[in-house]
Amino acid sequence: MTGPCPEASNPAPPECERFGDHGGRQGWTMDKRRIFQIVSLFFLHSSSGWEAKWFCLPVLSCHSCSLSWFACPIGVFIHYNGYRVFPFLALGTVLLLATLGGRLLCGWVCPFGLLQDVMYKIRSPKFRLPRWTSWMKYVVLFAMVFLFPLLQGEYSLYSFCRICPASAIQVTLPNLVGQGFQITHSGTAIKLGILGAILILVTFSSRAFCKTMCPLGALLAPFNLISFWRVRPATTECISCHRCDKICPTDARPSVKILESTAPNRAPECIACHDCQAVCPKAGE
Amino acid sequence: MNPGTTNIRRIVAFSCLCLALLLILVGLARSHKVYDRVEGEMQEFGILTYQRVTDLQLVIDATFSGVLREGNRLVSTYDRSMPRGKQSCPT
Repeated sequence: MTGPCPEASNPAPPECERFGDHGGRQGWTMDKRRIFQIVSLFFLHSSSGWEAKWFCLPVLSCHSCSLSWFACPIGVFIHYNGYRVFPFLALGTVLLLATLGGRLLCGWVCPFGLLQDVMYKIRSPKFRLPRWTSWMKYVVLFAMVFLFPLLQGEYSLYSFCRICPASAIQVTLPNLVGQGFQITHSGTAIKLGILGAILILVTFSSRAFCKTMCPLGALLAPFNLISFWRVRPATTECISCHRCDKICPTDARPSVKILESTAPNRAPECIACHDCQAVCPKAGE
Repeated sequence: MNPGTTNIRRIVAFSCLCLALLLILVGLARSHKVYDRVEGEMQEFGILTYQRVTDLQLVIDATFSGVLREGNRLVSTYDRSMPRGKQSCPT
């Protein structure tokens, strides 16, 4: 770890951005999120017998994992579309949590989000994806969660479950280990290939999967605009140092919202990580 | 921020919250006909048996493909009279 960033109004040095070490209270805000993510990871995957799979928790965690407590809303929507039954209960629970928190769960609970955050800490050249790539996840949501399962049934080869990287880690890989690494199905190879490509991509670009492919992110993103959860700007006197833009894991450009005197999480890409609050040099003044 | 925008945001948020609660209530009240697999003599005589399954149970069934769609019917993939235990989805 590097030392704390200087409290100058200039943008933070790159090493501070990479490791999120901003010292004191600011560092504690980021550590709190990491602790919450790790506790959530163990909590969500600790079911030894009893389960609550009637409840759809909107985070990317495969319900086929034998340790998972809750259902994945994407998997449930895919099946319900295949059944041609309207998912009242699943949609109701997702809508309720989305209205309360927007994409808060993406930043604080999602286990695949934690994996991406950890991968991004690997020392490597970093780059930002073009902004248009963030529209791809809406296409994924529409086509692979609603359209193809509706037309071809729940076992559609083009459903999101077939390429889901969370499912690949939680279910496909353990099964593969159990079978002595014998790939008997081309779908398995494709799924693992996609997982590998995503893990490489997220090493270079922060939360690249969340930004470009996650159908849950696409489902929750519009609710950022209305959710009851509000990330308070750290200051009302923004000096446009753009530290918040640099630290933002999803390139949501919080400074634009702060300058408009709007909560930074009103941007669809925001995962309410509160890192923009933590790095603001004017915070607490 | 414009107070009018804030008010519209609040109205939409409360509407979504009410809609979510309504969907949950309807979901809790709903049930679905899930047919048992037709085998042996029952197939010969065209006898169909079904059970009423709550939406809660159908969500659980969706997590491990406990129900399939065959034609216009939902068909159970396992014997519901037996204890199920944990199962994983074949996809």
